Amino acid sequence: MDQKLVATSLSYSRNGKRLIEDISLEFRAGVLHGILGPNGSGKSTLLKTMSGIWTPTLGKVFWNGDPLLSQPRQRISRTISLVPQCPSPSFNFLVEEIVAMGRYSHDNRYWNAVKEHLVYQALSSVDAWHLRGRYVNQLSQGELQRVYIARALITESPILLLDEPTASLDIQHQLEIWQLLQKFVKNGKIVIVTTHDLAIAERFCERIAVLNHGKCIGSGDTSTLLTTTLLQEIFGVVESRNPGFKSYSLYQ
Amino acid sequence: MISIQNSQKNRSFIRLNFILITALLLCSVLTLVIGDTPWHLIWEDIVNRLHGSGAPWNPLLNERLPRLIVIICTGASLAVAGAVMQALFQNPLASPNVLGISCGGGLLVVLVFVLEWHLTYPFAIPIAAFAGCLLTLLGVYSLSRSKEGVQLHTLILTGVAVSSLLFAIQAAIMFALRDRWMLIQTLTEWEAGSTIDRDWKHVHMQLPLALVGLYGCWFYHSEIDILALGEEEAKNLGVEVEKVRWRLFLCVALLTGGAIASIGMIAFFSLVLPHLIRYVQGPSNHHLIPLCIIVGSTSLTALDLLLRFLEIHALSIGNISAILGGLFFLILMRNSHILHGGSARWIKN
Amino acid sequence: MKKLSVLNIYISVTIFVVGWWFFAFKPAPAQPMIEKFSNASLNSSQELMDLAFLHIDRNQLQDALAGNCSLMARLIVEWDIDAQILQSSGLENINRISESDLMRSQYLDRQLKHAPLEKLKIAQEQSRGPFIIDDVGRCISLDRTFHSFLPQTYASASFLLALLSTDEIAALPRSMRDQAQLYPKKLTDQVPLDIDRQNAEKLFQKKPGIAFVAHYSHPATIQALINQGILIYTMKNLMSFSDITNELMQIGRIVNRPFQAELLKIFMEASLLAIDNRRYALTKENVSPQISKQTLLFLNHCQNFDMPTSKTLTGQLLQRMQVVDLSSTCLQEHEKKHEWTVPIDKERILNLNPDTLIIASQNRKALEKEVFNDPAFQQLSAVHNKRIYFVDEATQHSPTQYIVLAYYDLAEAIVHTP
Repeated sequence: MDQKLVATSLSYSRNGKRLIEDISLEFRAGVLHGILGPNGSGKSTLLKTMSGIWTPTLGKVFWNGDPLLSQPRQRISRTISLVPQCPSPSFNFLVEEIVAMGRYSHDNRYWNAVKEHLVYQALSSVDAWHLRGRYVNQLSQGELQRVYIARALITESPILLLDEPTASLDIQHQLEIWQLLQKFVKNGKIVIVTTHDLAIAERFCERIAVLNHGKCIGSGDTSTLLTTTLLQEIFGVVESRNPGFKSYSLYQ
Repeated sequence: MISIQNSQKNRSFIRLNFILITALLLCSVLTLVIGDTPWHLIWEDIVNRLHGSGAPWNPLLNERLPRLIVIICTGASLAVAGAVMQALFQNPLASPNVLGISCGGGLLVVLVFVLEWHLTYPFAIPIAAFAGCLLTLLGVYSLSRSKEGVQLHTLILTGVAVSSLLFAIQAAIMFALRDRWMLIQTLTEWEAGSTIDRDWKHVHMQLPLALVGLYGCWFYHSEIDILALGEEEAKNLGVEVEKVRWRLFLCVALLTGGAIASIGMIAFFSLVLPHLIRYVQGPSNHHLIPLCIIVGSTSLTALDLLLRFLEIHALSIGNISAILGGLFFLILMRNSHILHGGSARWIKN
Repeated sequence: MKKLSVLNIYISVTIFVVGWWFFAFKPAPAQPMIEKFSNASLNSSQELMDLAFLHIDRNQLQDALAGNCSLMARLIVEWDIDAQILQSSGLENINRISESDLMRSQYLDRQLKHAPLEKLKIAQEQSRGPFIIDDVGRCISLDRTFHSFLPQTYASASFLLALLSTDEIAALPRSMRDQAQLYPKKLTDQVPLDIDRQNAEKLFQKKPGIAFVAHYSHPATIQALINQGILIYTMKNLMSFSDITNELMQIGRIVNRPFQAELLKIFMEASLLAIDNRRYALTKENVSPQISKQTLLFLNHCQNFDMPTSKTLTGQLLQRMQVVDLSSTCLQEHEKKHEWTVPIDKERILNLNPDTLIIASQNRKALEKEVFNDPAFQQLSAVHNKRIYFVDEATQHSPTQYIVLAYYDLAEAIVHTP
């Protein structure tokens, strides 16, 4: 069966201010979804609302036709997993411990994940196994991002939400992360990524949704949605036709 | 395929446990053995008791043993309460005082003394201590509630406001009654904490609260680890944040109320000890909570033993714990390289 | 179902805790109790018939200490005669007041009773002297007569109530009004103002000429009084019987009642001698001749028990009595030197096992109940032999003329035969 995540008329308000309003979107497996928008457009709010971290003021989220957010919290976490933007743990846990915590939604005794090789599998798939014995405050932002992605993987959730996963990374790590996400999509996950990097989104995301001021301006295929008008009105940019402009790939 | 660091932590946990349990046993034995009554008289009376003819009061069974139990419970309770609060608030400076719990318990006890209810109802003091802690928690929680539920920063602000208010009320009462110097003396002695003449009624008052509180904190130790990452992260990973947090606060109120009820105010224990243990062993509550129980019990037992052995009457156990705790804290701050953001074991700058 | 299981958890926990408390604290079956007795028997000791004349009425004593000069003079004479009788019957350790003090007390009484007011006033003024030095060495001129006085300390207020009429006292310390057992309400009500600085203006209207302050009084208060033109007499803590009598004499001079003060001083000294004589006589002739060798332990009770050292007034009174005070055997030298009270737990009390136990407390009834219900105290021989006495804490710690009553209470506990 084709797995589908549907957000219907999703709204979220805080202190009387509407952060997102009436957003309806559909996400399928096998496609890397991007959510674009300028700063403050509601991208992070949308992810947090869809994952139930913030309770939507209005609207619902459906997973394969069933309402998702009315289920117990652990079940939601087994279904949908969010990698936060710029994680910064307050206490200095080991990488192993942080990743193992992702297993909580399956087993309260999450540390068993270490013994059961699940941590190994998760860290290996993001090429971060060598980090397992380090403390989180010893990691760079890129390494921490990988660790948190590994934690999301260990939950075995079919839906992965990533909030600007490459925001503070260098070009090499950015490309590595995006390639990883493509791999997850090929493995059948639904991957939804927020970004404000148009070029990257255009290159890697097959489908995108564009937000502005908390509303969804449009969603669909990347090539058809990113029109000149949209680029001008929403992002205030035009596409560069400068032949000197380069794009980059990973050096193998 | 556990990491070397994790294996090292596990080994150090076992080693530490061994050393601390030995120290606790030693301090406990000394507490039971050291006293004014010669041991042979005590033993004789115990033997007589077994044959049904002992004295109604035995120093070992009716004073030293209940005192030891109360001290162990109090040390364990305060250390675990501090560890839980620091994790829940993601702040190593948090303690039960953040929510005003201790102030609430203290205020009700002051009222009991002022109204002299303790003369008619001897258990009014422990009940007031526990009730004060619980009512303050309920009050802070109710005042923090909003449409979005109970937010952590709102809890902190409300807790600080409520504890300031309660403290001010207590100070006002003491000022209004400053002429009643016997009352002021009583309150001063109580607030300083005392282990003199603790008997089985103090044990019965504190033990069920401590057992429930400690079990509750242990039961949720995985959740406490995850909550230490932040509320949103915890929700993300599947923790029912509001429910678990409320239950943990309740456990902290039980632990703090029980400690205040049996001994009085012991400062700094709930702040410094979890720090120290986290510095040595790391922040995972799988090890932290059991270590807090053992270290807390051992430290308070050792302190009490020291005071008795040196016959220091000018200072109470609460005074000593506050002074030593404060000094320790300063040393810890100096040595933890926090300003340099280096290998600080428990905080990310 | 989910809500039910959550409720079940809370209910289970509540049942566990409340159930534990229920079984732990349910009333225990009645134990064979040591028969309680009240201290009322202190006032009606079972004296032997031939020494019945030695009875000292506590109420009468208190009345005299409150400033009844005629009563003071009468009692001094009676006690002196009692002492002479006891000496003539061959009893040892009986002491009389000096001849000069006896004569002086009678002379003062006659002056106060019979001398014309004007002459008495002049005589008193001449007896005062031109100046006085307070406890911090400040010189205060006595060139004028003051008509109103402001006692900022408890001790000075107590002396003034004995020496003066109430309309000469501007205000009283608030805590004094709570001690109705020493200062009757109808007396303290005649001085309605308290010394609190909220009443600063009302106090000023009373125009006190001099204020008696403590050396630890608030500096702002002292300055305010000086600014109002009120002279300041600074008193230090009264740490002994001689401190109390000396201070009494000083205050007597300042308030132009030197005769009354002197008479009260002689009376206080005579009272102690009379109490001693009575104690020696009764313990000598008592049914239990070993009573003078009985061990005694005095405890204060606040939150816990503690023992006073000889730095306290009670400690000094016990030293004067030359009893076998167990606290001195278990206190260390540095504690005796530096501490005022030393905490003591039940185990130590049991090990000391005094023959006589005296406990000073503010809440006697509650403490009696607690002590008699405590299995630890039931093992004490003092309790078994009904030699446990509860005395008023306020009286014991009163650095005023009522130290005599404190001494009386202690002595009665020792001579009392259950």
